[in-house]
Amino acid sequence: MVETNLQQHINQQLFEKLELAYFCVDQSMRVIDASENLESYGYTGVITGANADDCVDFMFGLDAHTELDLPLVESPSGKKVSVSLLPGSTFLTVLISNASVQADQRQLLQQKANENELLVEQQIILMKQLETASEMLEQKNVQLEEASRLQTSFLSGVSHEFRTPLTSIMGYTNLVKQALESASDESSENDKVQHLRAVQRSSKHLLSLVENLLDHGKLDSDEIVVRPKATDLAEIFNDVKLLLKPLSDAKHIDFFVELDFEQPMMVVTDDSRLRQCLINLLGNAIKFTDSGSVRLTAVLSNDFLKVEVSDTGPGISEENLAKIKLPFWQAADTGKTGTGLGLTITERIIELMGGELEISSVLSSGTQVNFEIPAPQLNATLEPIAAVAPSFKQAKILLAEDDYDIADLIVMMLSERGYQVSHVDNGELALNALESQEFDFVLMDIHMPIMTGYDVLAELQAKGNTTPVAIMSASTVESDRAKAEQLGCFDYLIKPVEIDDVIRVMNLALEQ
Amino acid sequence: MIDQDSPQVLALKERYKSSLEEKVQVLSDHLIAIESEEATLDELSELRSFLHKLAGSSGMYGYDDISAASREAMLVADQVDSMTNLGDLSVMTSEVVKLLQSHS
Repeated sequence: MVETNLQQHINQQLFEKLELAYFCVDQSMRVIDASENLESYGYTGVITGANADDCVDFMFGLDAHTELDLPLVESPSGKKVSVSLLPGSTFLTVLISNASVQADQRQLLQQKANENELLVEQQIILMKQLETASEMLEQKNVQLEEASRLQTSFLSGVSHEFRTPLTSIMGYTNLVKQALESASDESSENDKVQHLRAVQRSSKHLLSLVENLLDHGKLDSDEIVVRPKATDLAEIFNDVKLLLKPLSDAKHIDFFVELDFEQPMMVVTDDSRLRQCLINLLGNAIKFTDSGSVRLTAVLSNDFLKVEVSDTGPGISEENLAKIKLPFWQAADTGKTGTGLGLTITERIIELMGGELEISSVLSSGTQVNFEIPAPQLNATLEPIAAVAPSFKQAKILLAEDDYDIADLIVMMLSERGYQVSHVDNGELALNALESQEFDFVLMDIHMPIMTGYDVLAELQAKGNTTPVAIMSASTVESDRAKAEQLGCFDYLIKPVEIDDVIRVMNLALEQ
Repeated sequence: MIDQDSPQVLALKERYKSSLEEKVQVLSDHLIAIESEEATLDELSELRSFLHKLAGSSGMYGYDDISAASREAMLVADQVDSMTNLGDLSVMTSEVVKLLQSHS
C-alpha cells in the first residue's frame, strides 16, 4: 500500500517536472481519458468522448497502431512540445511533454560535457607545463652540479698552480739563508744573486697567478685596464723564458724561444699585461705537453708584434675548442689541473690590447695559439736618468719607514735619481744599520714599531753619532716638531713629503 | 729633474691605487669597532694610527683629498676626551672612507 502511494508520488513529481500531459484514445480515435493540464498547452476540448482527430491537430491521419515519437511539435499555446504515441492492445496513449524543458536539460548536459572536456584539456596543458618545469629543474640541477664540480676543480687547481712557484721560492731562499748562515760560505756572491733572481721570477709568476684571479672578478665589469708605456720587449720575453724554463725542464720537454728583433727593443705596450698573457699561454702549453717541445716565436714588424705559442701536446678536439675560452673550463680527461682562468683572461687582455687570440689545434699533434697586437717602436731608448750633482752621486742614504707604500716610492724615486738607498722598517734596525755602516743621510719616520724615530734620535745623540737625520711625520702638532728638533734632527718634513723637498734637504745636509 | 714618472713609479702608483679598496675595508672595520657600545681605547688608537699613515701615504701618491681628510680625522681622534663621545670621529672617518671609495 505504501509502495503504491510512493509510486504515485514519484509519478506525480515526474509528471510535474516534465510538465507531462496525456490522453488516451480508443480504436476509433475517441478520447477515453485525458489529463487536466492539457489546457496549459492549448489543447482544449480534449475531453472524454471527443474525437481526437478533431481537437488535436497532429492526430489527424495518424496510425493508432504504430509507436511514434514527434520530437518537436508546436502546440496551440505556442509551446514547443514533444509527443510520444504509445499504442496498446485496446487504446493508444499520447504523451505530451514540454520540449523546452528537455531542451534545457539537454543543453545543461551538453554544457556539463563541454565543461568536462575543457577541464580535461586544461589538465593536459597543466601536465605539459609540469613536465617542462621538471625538465628545466633537471637541467638546472645538472648546471649546478657542473658549477660545483668546476668550483672544486678550480680550488684544487689554484692550490696546485700556487705550489710550484712557492716551492721554488722556499727552495731558493733556503739556499741563500744557508749560504748566509754557514761560516764557511763557499757559494759566491754571484750564486746568491742568481738564487734571489730565481725567487724574484717565481714571485712574479705568483703575482701573475694572483692577477688572473683578481682579473677574473673584473671580466664581467670591464674593469681590466691596459696601460701601455715605454718598455723593453726583449726583456719581457727573456724574463718569461727564464721563468718558464724550469717548468719545461722538469717535464723533459724542449722549450724554444725565437725572437725576431734586436735587444733591447723599446716599444710602447703594457709590459705586465703582455707578461701575464705569455705566462698564461706558455704555462698552458708546457702543462699539457708531455713530450716534444713548446715553441715561442715573436716577430716585430711595422709596429705590430706577432706572437705564436705552439706545442706538441695532445691537441684539442673541435668540441672542446668551442668551450676552451670559457671561464673555469678545463679539459676533464687530461688529469691536468689549473685555475681554468688563464685563457679567458688572456683573450680579454689581448682584445684590450687591440688584437685577437686565435687557437688552432689538431688532436694528438699539437696546438698553436697566435695573436698580433700593436707595439709601436720607440726610436730612442728610455731617457737617461736625470743627472745628480756629481759630489752627491755616491751619497748613501738610510730610509727608516714602516709603511711600505711610502718606503717603496721614496726608494724608487731616489734610486732613479742616482742615490744609493737602504731601507729598514723599524727603529731598531735603523740604529743597527747606523752602528754598523756609514751613511751620509738618514730619512726617518717617527711612528715605527719596536723603536720610534724619537728613540733612535735620542740614542744617536747619546752615542755622539752626527749623521744628519731628517724626520718625516704626518703630525703637524708643533710639540712633535719641537721634540724632534730638541733631539737633534736636521729637519722635520711633514708627510706627505715631496721628493724634491727630500732632495733639497738632503743636499743642504750633504753640503755641510 | 724627472718630469714624468718612470714605469716603476707608475707601477707603484698602480699598486697603491689597487690597495685603496683594502684600505676601505680596514677603515670600515675600525669604524664598526669605535661605533660599538664597548669601544676601547686600543681601538681608538689603532684607528688614529691608521689615519696617520694614510694621511702620509695617500698624499705621496697624489691623493691630496684623502690625505687632508685623514689628517683632519686624525686631529679629531687626538681630541677625543671620552669614549662615549666618538660621534665626530665616526663622521670624519666615514668621510675618508667615501673619498677612498671614490678613488678606488
